[in-house]
Amino acid sequence: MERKQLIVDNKAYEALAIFHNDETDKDYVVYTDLKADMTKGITLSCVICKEENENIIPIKIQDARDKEIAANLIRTVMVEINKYSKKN
Amino acid sequence: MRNYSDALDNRNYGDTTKTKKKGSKVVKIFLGMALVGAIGLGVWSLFDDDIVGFFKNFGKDDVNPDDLLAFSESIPLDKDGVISITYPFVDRTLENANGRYSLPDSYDFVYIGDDENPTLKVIKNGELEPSNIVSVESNNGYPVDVIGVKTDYANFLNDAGEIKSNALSENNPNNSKLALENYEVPNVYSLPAGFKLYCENEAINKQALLAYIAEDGTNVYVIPKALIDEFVVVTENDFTIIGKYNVLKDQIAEVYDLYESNRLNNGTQTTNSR
Repeated sequence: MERKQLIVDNKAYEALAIFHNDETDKDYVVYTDLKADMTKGITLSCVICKEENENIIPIKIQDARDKEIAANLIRTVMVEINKYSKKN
Repeated sequence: MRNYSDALDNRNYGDTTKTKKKGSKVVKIFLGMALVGAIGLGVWSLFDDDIVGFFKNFGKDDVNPDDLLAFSESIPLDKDGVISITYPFVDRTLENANGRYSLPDSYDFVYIGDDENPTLKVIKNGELEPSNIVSVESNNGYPVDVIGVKTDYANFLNDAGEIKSNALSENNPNNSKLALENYEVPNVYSLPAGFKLYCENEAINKQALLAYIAEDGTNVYVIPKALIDEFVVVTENDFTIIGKYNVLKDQIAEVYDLYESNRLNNGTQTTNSR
């Protein structure tokens, strides 16, 4: 499986998944920082994105509906990661 | 499905139907996260070792991973167009169904059930606990309807909940400020500047039409006579607080619902009667 990073505000993050929302017709990427200090917690983030030349280009979120979708996607990814981690 | 948002209010205003929005589907998966089709379905495979280690090692060895979701930020952080949710490290122990459940000191337990006397006992800085741990002792099995929330949010819930409760009570003194005006057009009401109308039911709320605002700031409404008792009068400040309270309450209930569904689906805890 390919591994992808994206640069947000000049910092590299690990992309976990890209989702497409039919309502907004936008793509959203959920990502995290694997090098973060885990004792402070895990942070999952999400922005709108597009792909150019196999690179993930982040687009900052401004619309309220996009914020709602992004938050739901983060929670969904966390639930799935949680399930997977328990089974393996 | 149980409405935890209403349970937080300790009142039941009936169902509010929300327009169903189109969901999201996965486009591309990385690191073996092979979610297929709609969210929540699919097979996970070939999970990169770094990613597996990163999440599996989160928290103490005996932390129930399902419990992590109960302690997430209930309000996502929006920083410069990036939406983030932080799942805090929780020093939580789970010895048995009847026992102590712990949170770091910066968190409080929020009970969102509808039992007026939940069988939970909060122990802070107990003799056997480190001073930075807040514990809840349950004598009734796994403490359902309880979620860990950051103390600031929990305090806001308490204070704002009381403001809302007072506003919706029959003894709200501000309600007398809404005055029926004697105009040719029926059902015209005036409200002095500095006050707002609040209605818990969104559909009914929309039926209060603001006709105009007078020079002195008085709001003049046209409200169907049959619905007038559905509205209460609050100060502008309380109106803002109640709005924020409603948003936070819904988000906490949503997080808890997600957490509880996950816990029960995974069968990590036996369901205990309450």
